Amino acid sequence: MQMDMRVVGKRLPLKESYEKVTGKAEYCTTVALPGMLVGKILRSPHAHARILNLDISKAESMPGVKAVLSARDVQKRIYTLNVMTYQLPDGEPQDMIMFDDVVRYVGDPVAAVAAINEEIARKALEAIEVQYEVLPAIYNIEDAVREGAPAVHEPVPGNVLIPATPVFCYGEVEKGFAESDVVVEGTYQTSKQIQAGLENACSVADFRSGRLTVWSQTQLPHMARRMIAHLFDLPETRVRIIQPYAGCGFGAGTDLCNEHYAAGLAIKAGAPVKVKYYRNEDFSNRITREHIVRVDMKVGLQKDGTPKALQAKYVGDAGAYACKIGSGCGVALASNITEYEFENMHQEIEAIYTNHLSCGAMRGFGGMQSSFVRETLIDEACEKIGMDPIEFRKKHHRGVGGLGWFPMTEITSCGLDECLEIGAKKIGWKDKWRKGQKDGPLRRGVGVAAMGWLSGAQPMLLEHTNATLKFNNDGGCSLIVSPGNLGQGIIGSLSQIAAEALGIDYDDVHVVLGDTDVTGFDIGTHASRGCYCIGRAVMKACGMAREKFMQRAATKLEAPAYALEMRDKKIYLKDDPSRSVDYREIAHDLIYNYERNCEQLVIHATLEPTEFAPPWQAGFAEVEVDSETGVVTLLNWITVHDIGRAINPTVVEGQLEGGTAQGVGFALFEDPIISQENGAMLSDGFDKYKIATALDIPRHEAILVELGDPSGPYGAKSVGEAGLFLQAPAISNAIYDAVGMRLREVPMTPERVLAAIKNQKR
Amino acid sequence: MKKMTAVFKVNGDAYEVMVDTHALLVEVLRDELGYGFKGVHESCGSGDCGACTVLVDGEPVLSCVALAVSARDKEITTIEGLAKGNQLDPLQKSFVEHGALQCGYCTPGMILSAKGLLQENPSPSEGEIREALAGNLCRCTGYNKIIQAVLAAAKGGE
Repeated sequence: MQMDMRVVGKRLPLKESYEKVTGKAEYCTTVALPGMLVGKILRSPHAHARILNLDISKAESMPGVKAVLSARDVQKRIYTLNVMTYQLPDGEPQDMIMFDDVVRYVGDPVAAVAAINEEIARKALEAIEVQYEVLPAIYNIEDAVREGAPAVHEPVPGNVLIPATPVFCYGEVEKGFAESDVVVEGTYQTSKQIQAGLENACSVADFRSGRLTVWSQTQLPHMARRMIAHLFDLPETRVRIIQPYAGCGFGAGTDLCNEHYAAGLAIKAGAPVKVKYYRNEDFSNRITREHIVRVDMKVGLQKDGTPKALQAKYVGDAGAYACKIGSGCGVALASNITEYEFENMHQEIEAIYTNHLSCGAMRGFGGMQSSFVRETLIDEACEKIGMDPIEFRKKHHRGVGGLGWFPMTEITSCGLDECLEIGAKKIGWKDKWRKGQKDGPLRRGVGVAAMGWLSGAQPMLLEHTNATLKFNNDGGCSLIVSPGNLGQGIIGSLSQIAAEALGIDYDDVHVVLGDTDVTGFDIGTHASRGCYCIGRAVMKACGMAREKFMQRAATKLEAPAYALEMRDKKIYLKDDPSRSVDYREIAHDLIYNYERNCEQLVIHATLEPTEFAPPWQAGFAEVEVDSETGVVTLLNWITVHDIGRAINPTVVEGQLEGGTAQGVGFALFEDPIISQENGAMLSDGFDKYKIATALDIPRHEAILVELGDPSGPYGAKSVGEAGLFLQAPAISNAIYDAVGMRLREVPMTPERVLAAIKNQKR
Repeated sequence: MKKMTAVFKVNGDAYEVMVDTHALLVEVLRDELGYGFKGVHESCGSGDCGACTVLVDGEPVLSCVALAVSARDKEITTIEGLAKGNQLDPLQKSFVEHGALQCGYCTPGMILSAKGLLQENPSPSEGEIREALAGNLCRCTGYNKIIQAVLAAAKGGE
């Protein structure tokens, strides 16, 4: 690996930080267009009902109301919010219709209005008369599969959206368990965490000259464009997605939210329309973390730790619509393959419809549930065979050349041993593990967990990505790419990669993104792919650009291009650096050549990655459990992450530290509650759904291991999702170390911890 | 609906406008004054998240639950008023240098809460910073770098 780097590896400020600290940054919620109307959505108060009649006449005739949108204005087209459906040749299940005549959850849109201000828009919603035939509804998966249960979707009797289906199985698990010395198993309940970005769901749409422009918080702009074009029967070329900075994401932007309502209203009103959700509307209608709610897992080890068999069944509560049911299932199961050398594996997934909010994706898609269950069961199994869980992990994790998640893929690099060693030392594992004080109400414990994730979902999913470089006469360039615009650091990281590869400065690279009229196709931001996949496309484009520059310089230097090197804004002979030409002189000559040899350099690279480059991570928790109140206090948290190579260590740490806050929330207090009486989302505000404040998490640390990956840009692997997998399992294992009981449900609230302690005493 | 004339002094400039007596401060700042102070970010609308924090006479105020008229004739500072031209306030500079922001939606409120703290307590401890920022939710950063940024700005002699 090239070690003498000038830009990569430096702690440079985010490119967008100036705009963001001065209040100048534009978000969907701050977009203001001349003549823009306020859009609002009328929602079903019932979890399940048939719309018998919808009278919009009063609303339509109200002064100030410019459009009322309902079923009669849109074509009955089957669609899904999940625009990732386009990453598979046959897609994922699609079961939605805009303004269907049956509503299937409390909040399902019934109509929408656009008015000159919010007050009139709200009054117009009240003036719409809806006659419902209330239908029996189901709020949990147990009721959904009972005989005679009402069907959420009529063509799916019994509400089984996906029947128990084995995925990614190999070997013979029964034989594996027979050969195991220790078998542990458990049933776990997981939680459908809410992404809870600070910016409320918002989009703006404008339809003029036959073209539809949508300002969206999407992470997947090109596929969002395709779905919106499909819904309104427009050629894709006549739809444009603009992504201002998004103040939310964490997976929420991998599904459409309210873009299509804004679009429908704008088309009908002939004026721009902004649809911005209230906070309670956001929590109740923006689809949550993936559907998995129950996991049964069984793990078999031999006395020396040899992992013989893993068997699991995942059950998902899909809510009212399928959305990400297919990919969510796949990822959850695939993520169990890579971590340990299990000789036999059998996993199944099942998904059930119910009458509440559907499920999309949140950071840590599918891996949250799998790492919580697998890593706590491993801890339990290690206890039974009398092995230190760190030793087990070091001995039995997969390594380079081992099975990747997806068929035909191999692990490209692995730094898990280093992660485990560094973290163990830092937390004081040898002095603390199984050595906590065992009397008094306050007990301390430590716990560990580990994982290997992915850097893009190739080759299972289409991960087509593009990067374009357009050079200016001063040698600076525009880098045109199309990731999500979430503040995750991708704009700066891609600039660092390009600057390093071209031998220019960070400030010489200006990233252009967020407009499908300008950017080449890209899948966008999901599956921790941005820096790795788009970064590789940037590397490829830079390589092509270098060749162009060197060919041009070769003429000037009267030397063959292959004999040249390009670095620090100079192009020179490898053997004789004194024979050189200024890079900027070549750039200038490309634009202002007075001998009829001008050329605007626009270099474009397409990339479809195939490699499986997993980042690895070990997480260490130290907790104090109050055995009288059940309160778990996290005293210390350490993440050690095998990033391959940190393009910008500050950005990587930021991702991990932010992940920690979300992971601690998932583990201890984030609790989305859906009413079992009427199906409504009860946790519909920051007052009811608690995310971590500055007081809720201790000082925590993210440590990077940089050994380089052979496939990644400058050796980089991913970090986007990686920060939040291990808090739940490591904290659960630490609670066991402290008080000797295992929790199989998140969040591990004081009530649950206390109940488990009392149960144990009995 | 009752309307009244009111003067709002925002970032040193006085704006005289007619406002509804029930209008919220966030609405007036964003939609009624000049070109609008769009850096005032509204999220929860109920005082739970701190995104809309502004300073009124130096004190952090949640503008989504404050009546606009309660701030008339007082000195209001929004994020737009912190930098002097292109010269960032030391807190803004520190947030940039420490990578103390990601999506940036909480950032204006976070910086203004920190500003309020430092004006009252120029060298706060880490615990005092956590306490002062506990009403400003951030979903992206895990707070580490925000706290480092505020500590560093305080040490910079603000």
